[in-house]
Amino acid sequence: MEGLVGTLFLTPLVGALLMPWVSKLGRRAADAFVTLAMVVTVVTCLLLLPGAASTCTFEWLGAHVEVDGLSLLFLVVVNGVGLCCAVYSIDYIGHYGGRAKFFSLLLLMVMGLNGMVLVRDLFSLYLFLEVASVAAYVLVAYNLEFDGIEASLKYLLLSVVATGMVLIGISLILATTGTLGFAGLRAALAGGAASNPVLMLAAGLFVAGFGLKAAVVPFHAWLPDAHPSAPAPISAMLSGVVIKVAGVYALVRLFFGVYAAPPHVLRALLILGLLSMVVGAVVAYFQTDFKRLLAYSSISQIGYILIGLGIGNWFGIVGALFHVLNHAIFKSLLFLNSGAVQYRTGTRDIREMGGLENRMRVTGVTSVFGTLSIAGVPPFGGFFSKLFIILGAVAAKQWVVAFLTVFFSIFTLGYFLYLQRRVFFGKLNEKWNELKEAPAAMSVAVVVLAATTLLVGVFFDSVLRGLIEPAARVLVGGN
Amino acid sequence: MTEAVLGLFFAGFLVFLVGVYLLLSYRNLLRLVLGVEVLAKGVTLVLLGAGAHLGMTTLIQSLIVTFIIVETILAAVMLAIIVVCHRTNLSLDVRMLSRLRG
Amino acid sequence: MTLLVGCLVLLVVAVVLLGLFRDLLYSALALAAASVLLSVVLFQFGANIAAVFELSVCAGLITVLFVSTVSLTKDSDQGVESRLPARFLLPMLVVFAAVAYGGSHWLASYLTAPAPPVGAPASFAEAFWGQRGTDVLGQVAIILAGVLGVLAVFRAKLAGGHHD
Repeated sequence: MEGLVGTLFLTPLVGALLMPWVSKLGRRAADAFVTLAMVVTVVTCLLLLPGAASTCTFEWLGAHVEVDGLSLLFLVVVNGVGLCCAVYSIDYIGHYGGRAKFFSLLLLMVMGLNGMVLVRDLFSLYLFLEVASVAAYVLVAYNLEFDGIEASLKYLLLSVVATGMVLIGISLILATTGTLGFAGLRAALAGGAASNPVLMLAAGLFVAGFGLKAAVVPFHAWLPDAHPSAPAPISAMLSGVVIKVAGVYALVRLFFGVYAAPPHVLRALLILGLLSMVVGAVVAYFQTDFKRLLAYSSISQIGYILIGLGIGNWFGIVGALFHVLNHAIFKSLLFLNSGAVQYRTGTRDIREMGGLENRMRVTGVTSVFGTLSIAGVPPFGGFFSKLFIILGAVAAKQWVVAFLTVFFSIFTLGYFLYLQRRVFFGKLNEKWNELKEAPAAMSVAVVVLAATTLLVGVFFDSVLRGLIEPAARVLVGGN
Repeated sequence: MTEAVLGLFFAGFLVFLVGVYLLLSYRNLLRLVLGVEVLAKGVTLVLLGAGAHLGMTTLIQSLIVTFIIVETILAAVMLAIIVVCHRTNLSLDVRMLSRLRG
Repeated sequence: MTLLVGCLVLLVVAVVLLGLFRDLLYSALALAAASVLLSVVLFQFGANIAAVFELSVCAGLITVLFVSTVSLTKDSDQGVESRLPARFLLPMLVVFAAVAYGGSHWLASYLTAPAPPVGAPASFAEAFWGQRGTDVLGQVAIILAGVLGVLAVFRAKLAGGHHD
């Protein structure tokens, strides 16, 4: 078991290190190598699944990492989506050039996210956040065109302010408690966190800092630029995984694992969540750029996750964690499909599309899966996670929250059906008569994701029992 | 808290705030790199303050070394992106950023 | 103590001058000066190795990188730069100083005298390699990400090129 945890931690790093040499053997070698590295990490996650309820540590050269139920959920999300994006990139990245560097940076991003999830120390958490972020800044600018570069710089500047606040919070916590390890902090804060204003100031700095990384509404300005400008597999990673691990995971681990869920922090999360859900959905409705619409809808869906956490009861937390999994699957699916459309048509403008399903059957059908899941239609995964969040709100007697959640779920269905109709259905725009289906590797990746979103919904009971509940128990039972 | 630690925290907060101001107000991309660096100096001072308050300078030292490496990498990546930005459109004016809507 | 106060005051002055200077090269030198002063402060608290890093990496390497970038990009239109932020810096400085003063005193009133640290590492090597071993791996990863990132940004732009 220890070896498995070490594999997760080290495989992407070693892979990134070796990639430039492997790519000397040719294009196919690089493709096979990145796939192999990601398959190794995914298989490792799956091997760890039976032990989801227990914790497992790994120590090597003074490094100390640990897996528990919560880590495992996020590891599955990171590596699963990472594998699909890597496979998708094999055909997609050709026109960007720099294949080996792209794969290396993708692996380093996965390494940083895995590291964030595995470490049990506040400062290491920050460090691995920066590893993932540095890779992300470069990958956002990967097209080396104006929009990518500008979006990357905007992302970088706002992130620097965010991590600066996080570091000041870390300093305050260190000065108060004398420790940075999560276990030590939990003991030191036991009972006294809510009454110590310094610790609450640190909590506020964490909400703002990690909230910016999660693109929660008042801090969301970077996301609608960064996500559309990046290459599609990177948009999928950013939206599906990075904002969740860098933002949601960090918030969850800190406020439930260390702070023992102080009520005013939960209330803040609930309000930020509602704000994100409403603003994200309303702004998404007015977008004409395919990827920008998806980006705003990510903000809205992050809102759902925060609402579930902010409600703070069992249903809410299970729903939020389940929605992390579901959103990662369907949003990366939709971003990859938008990339396939852009790859073939060269545009992201919804108004120029229409009837693409006649020419791109796989992309069109898998998009329907993604749309139904994000809108919360049974039996897709998204239905069950939203159901749990709403149940949580009802159980907590938060009627307004429950009503808004239901209402915006229908609203989401509305604007996604509109998107589906404008892009894929209807009469084929004559311009696209010669259009072909996306290349094989890209289709494989989206078919796997579409199948997963359906399977997660159909077998939601096993998913809940095997993956989500062990994670929720870390948060609720752990303190 | 001793006077020295108080001084570190005061200077750290002040430098951090000046750094944020520089980041948010300037028009030239290269000045933004300077802003990031100023902000990092403030963070280093605050970290040192926490360590000095606890009398744990050996621990805080290793954190500060790590942080210096991170800030250097950030500065290098940022400068590289700025050079490419310059090659692409020959302007380092941040107002070009407004082409992207927030 | 007077040396410390002097260094901190000069550090703040350097940072403010950095904001006020019209010429980017002067600003870069002000940043280098701030780094040197910070490294003296680190040295006074016994953080010798961090001080050396601050001096060589921040004051040295970053300044060199920055000045190279300034000369690489000097044909760009920087003349449009507004003077407004610099003019507002001094009034804002008063506000910032008040916030920092209030914040640090507020902090001082809540931070209790520290308990003697348990299991504190005796040497830097023990702290760095022993207790913070995870961070060493993280540093390897971030340095790799930085190197590959810079290479990726400077790659030949179009596909089908010799890099593939």
